[in-house]
Amino acid sequence: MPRGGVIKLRELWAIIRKEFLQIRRDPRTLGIILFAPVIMLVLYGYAVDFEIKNIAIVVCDQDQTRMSREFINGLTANNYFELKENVTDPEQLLERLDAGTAKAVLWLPSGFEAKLLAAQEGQIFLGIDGSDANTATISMGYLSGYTRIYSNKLSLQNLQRTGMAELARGLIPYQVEQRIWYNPEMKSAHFIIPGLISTLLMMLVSLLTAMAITGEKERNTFEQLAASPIKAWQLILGKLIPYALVSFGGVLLIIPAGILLFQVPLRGNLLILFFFTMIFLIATLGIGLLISTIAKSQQQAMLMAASLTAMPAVLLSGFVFPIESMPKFLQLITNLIPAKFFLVALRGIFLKGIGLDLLYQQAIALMIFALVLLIVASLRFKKRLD
Amino acid sequence: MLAVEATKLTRRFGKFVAVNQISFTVTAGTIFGFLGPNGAGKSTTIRMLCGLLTPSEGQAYVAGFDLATQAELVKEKIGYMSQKFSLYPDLTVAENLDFYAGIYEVPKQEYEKTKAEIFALTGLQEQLRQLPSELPGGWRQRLALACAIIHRPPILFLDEPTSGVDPVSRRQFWELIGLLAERGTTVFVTTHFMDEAEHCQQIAFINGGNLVSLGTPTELKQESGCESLEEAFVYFAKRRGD
Repeated sequence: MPRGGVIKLRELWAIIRKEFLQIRRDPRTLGIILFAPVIMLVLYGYAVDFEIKNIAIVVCDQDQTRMSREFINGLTANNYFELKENVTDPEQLLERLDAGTAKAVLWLPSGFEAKLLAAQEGQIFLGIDGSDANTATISMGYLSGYTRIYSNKLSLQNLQRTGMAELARGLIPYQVEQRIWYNPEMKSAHFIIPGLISTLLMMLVSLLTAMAITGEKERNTFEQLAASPIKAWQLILGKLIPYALVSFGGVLLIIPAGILLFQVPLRGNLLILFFFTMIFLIATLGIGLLISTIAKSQQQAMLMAASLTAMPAVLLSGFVFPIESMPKFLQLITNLIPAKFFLVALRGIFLKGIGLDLLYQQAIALMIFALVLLIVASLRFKKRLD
Repeated sequence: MLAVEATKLTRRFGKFVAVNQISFTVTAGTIFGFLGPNGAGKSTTIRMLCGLLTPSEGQAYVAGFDLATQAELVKEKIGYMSQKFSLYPDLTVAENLDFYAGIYEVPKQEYEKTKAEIFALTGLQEQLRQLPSELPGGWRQRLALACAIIHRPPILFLDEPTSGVDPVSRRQFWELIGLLAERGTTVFVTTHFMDEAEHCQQIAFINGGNLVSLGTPTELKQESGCESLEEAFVYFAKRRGD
């Protein structure tokens, strides 16, 4: 029988059609692909909030002067700290930290005002609950910033009052006009949603692809396929195309969900966003395919997908922890995580509205991932049982 | 003409020798019975002949193609029904048939013709919209056979096709196999039911990975001086061990 190009497509089409039929017969899988990302987006979007406000603080003011009160009032004025209690004994401060009623404690010893007025060096003590490192870092930052501004302001007033304003010239801090670009209100959601999109896609798509193929092994139908003349690439493409399309459908739902529910702005071009999504999907399908060449059962596939995709996508992609603050060797490892590049692209397109001219490196990186993963997986994919 | 020609075919899994240097030939158009107890190496042999397992040693030609270098060409010439007849449980009878016709690239007109013939043989046309799980075991097995012959393969490999099927269905199934052979299909069938072996023109006894005897049912009974194939098999298995 002559074997032309058209006939080759018929075998491919047979697989694609079968996969679609199976997806349709299994509403659970279809539901997982289409709606799980949206549901998880909603859950995480509301639960994960990196903004830290109203840090519980307990103060011991042993100075009890105008200036000490002014200092404390200023501290709680901007909602970063919430004054829970004023205690009289500094010993009590540690007790509050132990009990967890305070995340930060501040002790102003007596002589606070006197030393300030006499231009002597004074000390105030700040204690922070370090068991929550994230909150600790942020409270430390707020407090030291606030103290610096307060003492600068004071020095300036003093110098002006004593007619030595000339001397103050070097001391006057530049008026820093802060302007935060891309996410002016510093909303966590704007920052998290792109991360969630990439993490969820990476997990779900690779998992489902791996399950779809190991499922054939578990049900023995793989043996039947392996005994047929169908080519390995037809089998692979036939499996990947339906899952790529359905996953893309999931993306089409998750993006408006992010925009409508969390007011994440979409400043960039939608087509470029789709372009990135498509190459990222191909790369994650490649991961799924690779897993299926190693895993013998659906359960194994599930475990491997969780450890190979979910953990790295959350921890090493820059979704939760900034890559810049990781140790050098970890920073190198993050280059093996496709989600990292997709995330940069997503944030860039959503929040900055930038295009391919600035994101071409990410595009190239993702294309290399897609290509290498597909090639390696296809080479490993054997139409054999040994 | 030879449909299968195996020479010193061997398969090891680690240190375990599943199939040990077996040689035999299968004449085209005959029913060849591959008999032996569970774990004798029947499935391993059939998987090697279908190009699913790579032989550790030895050669085999199937449909004139060398398994070592032309396994994919072999796959076009054979139909295979694995031990746990693997149908898609979530596809209907018609969809299972369509799928196998698709991956074997059966041209449309030919497919319609073959389907009509298969329906006449199996009576499956009544169950087209049902899922395999809704069918009784005997019908599921017929559907699996239908899927394996949808592309009219000249050689058909059946691995324990009648295990777990009631006696009436077993008899009907062997009638089907007989019809296929009459039409010129070579049937290579493994079984551990000795009574089924009477339907075969040639029989190979295999035990512990070794080929213990080869011949027609009559020859094997005469050689061993036994009345039944069951006794003959015990005789050959013992003789080999001595």
